[in-house]
Amino acid sequence: MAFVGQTTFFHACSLQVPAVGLIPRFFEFRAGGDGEALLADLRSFVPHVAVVFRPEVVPPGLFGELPAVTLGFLSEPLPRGNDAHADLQRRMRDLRQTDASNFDRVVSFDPLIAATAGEVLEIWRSLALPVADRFFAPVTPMGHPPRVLFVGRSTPHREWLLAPAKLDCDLLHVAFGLSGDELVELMHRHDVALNLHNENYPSFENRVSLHLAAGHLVISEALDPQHGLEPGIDYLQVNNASELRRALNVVVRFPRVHHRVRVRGRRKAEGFRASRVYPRLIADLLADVDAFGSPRS
Amino acid sequence: MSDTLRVSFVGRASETGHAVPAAPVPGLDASFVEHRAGQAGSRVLAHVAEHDPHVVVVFGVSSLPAATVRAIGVPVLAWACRPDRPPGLEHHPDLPDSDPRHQAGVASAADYARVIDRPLPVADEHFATPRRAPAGPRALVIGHSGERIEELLIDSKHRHEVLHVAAGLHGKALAAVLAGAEVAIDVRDDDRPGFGPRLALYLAAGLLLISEPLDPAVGLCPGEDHLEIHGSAELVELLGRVRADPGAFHEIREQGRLSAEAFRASRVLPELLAPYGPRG
Repeated sequence: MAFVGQTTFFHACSLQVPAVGLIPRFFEFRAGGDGEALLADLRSFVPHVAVVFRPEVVPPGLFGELPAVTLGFLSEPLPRGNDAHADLQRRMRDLRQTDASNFDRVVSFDPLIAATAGEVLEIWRSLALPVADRFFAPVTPMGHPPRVLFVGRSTPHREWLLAPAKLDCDLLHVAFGLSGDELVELMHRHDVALNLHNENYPSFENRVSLHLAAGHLVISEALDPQHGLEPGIDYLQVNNASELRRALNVVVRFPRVHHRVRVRGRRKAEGFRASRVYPRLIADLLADVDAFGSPRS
Repeated sequence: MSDTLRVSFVGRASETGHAVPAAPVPGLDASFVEHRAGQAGSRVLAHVAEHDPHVVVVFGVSSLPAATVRAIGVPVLAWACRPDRPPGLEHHPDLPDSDPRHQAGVASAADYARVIDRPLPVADEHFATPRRAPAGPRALVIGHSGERIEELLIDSKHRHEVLHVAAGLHGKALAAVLAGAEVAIDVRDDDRPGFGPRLALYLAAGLLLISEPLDPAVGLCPGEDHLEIHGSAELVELLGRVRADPGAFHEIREQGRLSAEAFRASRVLPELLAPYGPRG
C-alpha cells in the first residue's frame, strides 16, 4: 500500500507499520514535484493501492496507467456556500486543477465540503484524516508548569488569537517543517495542545485527533464537523483570544483540573488510529471498485 | 573584594535569553529573570534583592513599569529591542500595549541610566563549530511570522527542508534546534533596514546565514560571512544550491563563525557594563 503526499503534513496521517495484511510505504510528493519520478518509484514498489493526499497536486494523467487502485484523499477546507473566505476560494481554484481520471475513488476529510468538491470530483466517502499509530501515547501527568504547543502555520487569524497567550506563557509555536521522529518527540514533551483554524471559517483540523492521540489536553476553536468529538468532554472549546488566554491560565495554575477531558479525548482518539481505519477503508475500497467499477477503467 | 561583575538581566527567555550566559564566564556573574510586558514588577524586585547585582539590564525599554525601574537600588540600563510579535496586533484589546492605564505606567528611556542600542550579544554556550547536520542541510527560521515574511519564505518552505519556530524556543530546546540545522534564514516584517535579534546567534552556532541586506551591517560582509538575498526566488535558488553542494558554503560558515566572536557575551558584556561594576 503506497501513501503519497508531502511528508511534513501527511506522514502523520498514514499507516506506518504493517497492519491486517497492509504493507505500507510513504512516497514524498508535493505541489510542483517530479511526477515521473514519483511514478517510477511507485512502479518499483508495485502497490495494490495508492492513497494520495491532496489529489489536486498530482499532474494530469499521471496515474492513468498505474496498475493499482488509487484513492484520492481531500485534506483541505473548501467553500460551503457562496460567501466564502478568500482562502477557501483559492483552495477551490486549486481543487479545480484535479484530474479526476487519476483516481478510482475520492474521500474528503470533511462531509460538509462534499457538495462543493462534488463539482469537480465524485466524493465516495467522508472521514477524518487518520492518525499514525506511533503518535498514540498514554495520558501522563502534566508538567509544572504544563508545556503548551501549537503546531501550525502563522496566519493573521491565528496570531490574533495567540498573542495574549504567547504573552502569558511559554507557548511553543512550530510554524512549519516538523515531521517524523522529531514531531513524535516534540509531542511527547508537551501536555497541552492548541488547535486554531487557518482563518475565520469552521473546519476540523487533523491536529486535533493527532494531539488527542498523544494524550494532550486539546484546546480548540469550535470544530465543524465534530467527527464524534464533544466540546467540554473530549476537548476544551474557546471562541476568542480572551477565552484561550483564560483557559491556559487555568490549566497553568491548576494542571489537573481537566484531567478527565484528557482521558476522554485520548479514548476517542482510538477512532482515528491508522491501523484501524485503513484496513477497513481499503477493504471497502477494493470491494466497491470490484463491484461497481471505476471511471479509471 | 571580588572583581566579578554581577548583572541581572530582565526579559523573556524565548526572545533574549540567548544573549545571557547561563554558565559563569570570567569576570561576569549573570542572572536572568523572566518578565513579560503587562506583569507587575514584584518578581523582578525579588530577584534583584536575592542576587544583589551591581547593575540591572532590561531588554526592551518599555517592558517594565517605571515604578519598578525606580525602585531598583542599582543602575538600571535598557537594551533597546522590540517584542517578537507579528505586525497587526497594535490594537489587540487583550494586549497591555493597547491599555492606556498600562501605557501610562511603563518606563521610558528617561527612566534608565542608559539605553543600549546595539545588536544583542550571544551567550558563550551557543558558540559551535560549523558542522554537517545528520538530517541534511535543513534551514532554520526562528521568530514570528507575518505577511511579508511568509511571502518571502513560502516557496522555500514547500521546496526545501525549512523549520520555522515562531515562538517559545529557549534553553535546551533552542540548542537542539540550532544543532539540527545547517542554514539560518533571517527576513524582516517590512522593508525598513534592520539587524535581526538572532543574526549573531545563527553565526555563532556555525550556521550558514542567509539574510536580507543588513543595515547596520555591524561589521558583517555579504558574500564573506553570510549570504544576502533580495526576494523569494533568490532564496529558493540559493537553498537549492546549498542542498546540492553543502560543502561549497563551508568557508562562508567558517568566516561567519569567526565574525560572531564580535558578539560573544563574555567579551561584550564585561566591557560594556564595566563602568557599573565593582571597579567602575
